[in-house]
Formats: sequence, structure tokens, C-alpha cells
Amino acid sequence: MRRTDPSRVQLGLDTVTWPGCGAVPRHIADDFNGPRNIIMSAMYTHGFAYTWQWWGNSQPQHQCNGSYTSADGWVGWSNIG
Amino acid sequence: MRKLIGLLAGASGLVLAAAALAVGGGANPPSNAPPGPGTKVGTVTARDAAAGGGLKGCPSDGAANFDTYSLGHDFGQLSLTAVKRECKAPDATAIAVGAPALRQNTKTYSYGTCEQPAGLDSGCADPVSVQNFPACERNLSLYKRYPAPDGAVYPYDLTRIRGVPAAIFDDGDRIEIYTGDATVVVWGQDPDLVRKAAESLQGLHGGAPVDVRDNLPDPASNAMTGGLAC
Repeated sequence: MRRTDPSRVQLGLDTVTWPGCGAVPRHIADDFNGPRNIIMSAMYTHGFAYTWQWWGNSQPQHQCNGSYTSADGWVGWSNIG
Repeated sequence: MRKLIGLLAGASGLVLAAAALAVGGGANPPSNAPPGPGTKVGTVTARDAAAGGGLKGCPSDGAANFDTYSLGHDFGQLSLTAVKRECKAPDATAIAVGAPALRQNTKTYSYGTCEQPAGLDSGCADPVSVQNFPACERNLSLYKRYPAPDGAVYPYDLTRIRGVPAAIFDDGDRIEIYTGDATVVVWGQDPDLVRKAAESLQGLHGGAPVDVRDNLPDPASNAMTGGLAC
């Protein structure tokens, strides 16, 4: 079983203005965890059950400006009823 | 039907994995009613919950306070293209919602380079990367201690490399090696190359050099079971 591919599904974040490289706007990130944590925190605030799973998916990603970033390997699960 | 939505930080950008799972009992959340804030359906332990306050601080000089390994300046035709030391404080937002110790504490060596995919906002993975972690923060026990809500554990196959325990993930695109007080993760897209890289590690153990011809040091006591203190 391979679980790196689902992680490549993009959120609908087209309305967010990302800093970019060259003519094509691209996302430059310090890490890939912040939005997940914000969402998990919001779910927690509204009383949804949650849990964390360790996937270890922290493969470094080479970004268009030459920098590297990665995820921390944790997946948050929340029960949305 | 109870639905679970998985929110993850993925390998190549901000991502969302969503899954609709039929209730099958087992480790699924026990009630359809929204639980109170802080209700956990996983197995976060008191130690883990407190881990955010129990981690080593980040050395001010940027050094790694755990054993680190690389492939030297070159690995076959691939040159060392980047070295990155990252050590962050645990994320307060995540800790507040009961997350285990979520932080980046790594030293990474990247080999070769990759081509940014046209028209995609995903970055790319270099041919081989060696990512070092302190074993007290990343070790094999995490996979079983933190399964999916249905109890599924991220799959891996155990093996041995250079005399120490290792685990193979993702059809060989990732190998984790457990040695000394470190967990060394070798990443790539070619399983043969990843395996060869895993067998070619060199580095420092307690400040002493470990040559590519040496067996790797045994994992520290309790390192693989999550019992190694930071």
C-alpha cells in the first residue's frame, strides 16, 4: 500500500495569494503543518472527536526558490459525524 | 454512516485526504454524538501529551544533538546539493488539541536535484535524501502507537541494514534505519537506489566516525519502543 499519493491532492486554495517563483505563482512554505493544525484546532473547538496517526511522511520537498520544506509526518483525523 | 476526515500535512504541499468510512466497530469513534472538546479516539499517552514540554531544546549553534548520517559529498553520480538543519519548538496550536510532539527536528542531506513540475504547486523530491531524527522523537513504535481510527497501521516491512533494524515503506521509496540515538530515513523514488543509499550511510555516533564499511551502532536502549528519553 502506498500512501504518499493521496497527500498530493490539493486543497481548493486558489483564492490564496502565494508568493511565487517566476511567471507561475507557486507556494513557498516553511512547513506543511500549519494549516492542518489550524483545522484540527477548529475541529477541537467545535467539539469534534479527533485522533492522530503517524504516517512519517516527512520527505523533503525542493521548492521553486531552492529551499526545502517537509511535513512532520502526523495525520489528524476528525469525526465529522 | 459515520464519516472520518483525515487532515494531513503531506509530502508535497498543503493537502487534504478525505475518506468516508462505514462504521465497522473496532477502533472507530464510539459515538455519533459530537464529543466534548478534547475527546480523543486515539491512543495519545500522558507522556506523549506532555512531550511538547519534554523535548530537548534546539542548540543555539545549529548543531544536531543526536547522531547524524549522510552519504558524504557524493553518492554515485549524485552530488550533495543541500544540507538543512531544522529544529523548531513544538507547535502550540497542535499541542493545545492533544497532539503528540509535533515539531521538525531534523538534519537532512539532499543528493541530486529534481525538476519542478510545470503548472503544479507541489515542489519536487530530489533523487535521494537522508533525513536524521532523534530517536526519542521518531522511532518505529510510533506507527503502532498511533494507528488510524480504524486501527490500521501504516504498513512497513522489517529488515536489517548494516547490522541494525530497519523498516521499508512505500514499496521501497522510504527506508528507516534505527541506530544509536537516531532514526535515519532515506527517501527517494527508486527503491534500488534508496536501498543502496541506506547501505552506504556514514556519519557520527557520539562524535566518533562511522565509516561506510562499518556496521552501524545498535539502537540505543528502548529507542525503538519509544522509551528513550529526550
